[in-house]
Amino acid sequence: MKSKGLNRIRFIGISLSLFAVLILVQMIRIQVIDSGRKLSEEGTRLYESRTDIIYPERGSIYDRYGSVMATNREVYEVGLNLMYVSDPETLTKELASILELDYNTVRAQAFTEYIPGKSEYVPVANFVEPDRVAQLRQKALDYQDLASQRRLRKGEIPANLDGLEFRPRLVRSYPEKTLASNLLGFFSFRDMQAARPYFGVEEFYNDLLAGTPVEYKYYYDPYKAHKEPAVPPGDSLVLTIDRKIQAEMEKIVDERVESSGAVAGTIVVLDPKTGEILAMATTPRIDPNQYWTLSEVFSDSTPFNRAIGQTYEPGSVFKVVTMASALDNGTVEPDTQFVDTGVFHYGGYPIYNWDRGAWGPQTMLGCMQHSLNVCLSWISTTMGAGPFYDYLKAFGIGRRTNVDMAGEMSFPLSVPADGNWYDINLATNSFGQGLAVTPLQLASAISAVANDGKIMAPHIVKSVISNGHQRDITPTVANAPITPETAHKLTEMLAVSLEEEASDALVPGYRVAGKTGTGEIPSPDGYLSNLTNASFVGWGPADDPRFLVYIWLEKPTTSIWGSIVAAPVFSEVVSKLVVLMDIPPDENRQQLTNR
Amino acid sequence: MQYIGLFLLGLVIAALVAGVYLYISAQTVSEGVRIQELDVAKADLRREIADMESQLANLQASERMDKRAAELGYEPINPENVVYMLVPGYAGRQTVRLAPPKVEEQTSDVVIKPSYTQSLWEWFYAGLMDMNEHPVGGVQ
Repeated sequence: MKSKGLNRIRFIGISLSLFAVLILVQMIRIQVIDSGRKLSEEGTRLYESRTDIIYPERGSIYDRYGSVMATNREVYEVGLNLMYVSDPETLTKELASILELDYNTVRAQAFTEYIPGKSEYVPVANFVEPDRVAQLRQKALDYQDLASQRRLRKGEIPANLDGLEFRPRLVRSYPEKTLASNLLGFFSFRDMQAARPYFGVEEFYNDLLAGTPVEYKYYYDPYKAHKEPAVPPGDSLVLTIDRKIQAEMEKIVDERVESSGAVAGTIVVLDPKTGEILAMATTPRIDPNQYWTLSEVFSDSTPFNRAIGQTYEPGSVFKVVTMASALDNGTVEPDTQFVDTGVFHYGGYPIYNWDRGAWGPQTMLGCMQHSLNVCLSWISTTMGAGPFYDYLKAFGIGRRTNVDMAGEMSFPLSVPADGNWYDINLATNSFGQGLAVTPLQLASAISAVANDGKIMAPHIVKSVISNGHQRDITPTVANAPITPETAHKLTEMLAVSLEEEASDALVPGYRVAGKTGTGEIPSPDGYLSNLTNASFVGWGPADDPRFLVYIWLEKPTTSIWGSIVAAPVFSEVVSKLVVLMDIPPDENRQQLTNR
Repeated sequence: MQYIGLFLLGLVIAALVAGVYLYISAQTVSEGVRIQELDVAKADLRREIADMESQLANLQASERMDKRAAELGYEPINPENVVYMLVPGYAGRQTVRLAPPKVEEQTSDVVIKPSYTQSLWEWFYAGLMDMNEHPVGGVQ
């Protein structure tokens, strides 16, 4: 009996041991055979990890004193995880109401059937503001509270918002809206697949602002937890512009375009000593937060930033360059005499003054003061084509300034030996006809007269912030077309010229130098007689220039003359500038300097 | 009986080892999950910071500040109303100096050593494979 019981125990023990050994053998077998290995590899491939690309936060853009011009804000994609949707009616009602969506569209989305691998997630709305998301989250909690307080019947599903998913992302934001939008450009954040920058600083500095994406492997297995790599945000930029000056200039240009009946207006304010652009106001402008309205505001041919993107024949403001060249070359002196007979024949064509009048004996000061085409034509032809065009090239005419903004245009300068250059060009170019420049090009060229003969390369970015360090951009000398003596002589001439004319450009308490311009507009039938480009360029204080202002009103209708529509703008601009830049009146400033 | 006893002893020892292993594994897994959660929280905080900076910028926008100034009774000043005074040592308004926080340095990717993640079976199997490729004494 005893041995029978013992045998049974032995039998059970051996059976269980055999069973355990079989399990062990199977464990080894499935890991060793091919199909087992393949299954393991496939599982690893699908479920071990995924590769993510982390895009850094786009760098911000500030004005020179730290005001934010462009940054990033949070928005959400609201969607439905169909696996967890149990009450599509309530979801439809709340989503349509809170997100202000079409009821039928949302209903169709909420009632979408869940099919694993094929239909798991449905996006409902994109770029949803955080406050709307907060409302939805609160609603979901309210429904949960309500359900927990009630006694449910068997099988009853309480009203709920299960299945709602919120996927946050950062999008570009421009807190100042239209302010400085022409020079900032915009980032097409709504284009999920191919968002990219357009125009201005955003496009030019995209490589720095965007940063470097980092690819990394995310392991689902917590055993293999990797520390997520640190991804530095894109570089941020500090611009040279002053937000307050920019705002004032935009206000002035908008008012003056309206009051003069002009098609458009541009005001550029430079620091001639450094080339820093303190303001660049043009029309029209868009709010880059709604960049998709671009085509409603800008026609096909309208450049985004006229100050750098639109060339035009500047007219008499160009005489500053001609006179600077002639003085520097020694062709004339300020008191060189010229007898203006009212007409100058050259290259088979007659050149007349703006009023078709003859002004008699004039000094070079008089020629500039009265803006005599005849006199300037004589100067350039006396100088000779070689030296004249050498100086124009030295001033940067016909070339881009290479300012750090996307969208800069240039019109090539025709010179002798070019197929489209004629003898008459030597005369007409002297008073700004037959050549074309952008406002920034000419402002930059003339800045040499305000800065001891040196042109500082114009730039819009003052410093770059990268990885915790702020690196300043060093101003560079683009060229030195004239000597300091020439620059001082011409500044004095143009200051006296304004004073003697009692110009509307004058600013009480401040001595400024400047020149008006009324440029005719070419057409297929010759120059238009009733429309012009009215310009003014000026700088001050004359003895120590802190600013250079270039104004252009395109096709004003109240008057065609730059002295009437553009010169007063200069006065208004400078009145604001001297306050915003803390520039005391000349008398006070000189007293303070002498202490 | 002796053999049964020895067998049971082996079983108990194996159970103890397995228990210790499971305990350590559980700790490792929970720390790993915590790391993953913290990474998500870090990303959320970064977005929140960016959004708050944007909100602050909106509150300080030029148009809004002008409106607030007007409501408080401020008016734009004219040059003739400005009084200038010399302040010794004042160099004028300076360009902003901004220095965002430094990004943390990248340490080694894997924070858990392989010996903590390898199972006993993986260790045993790897050892077997190693012995197969490099047998002790002599060439195969």
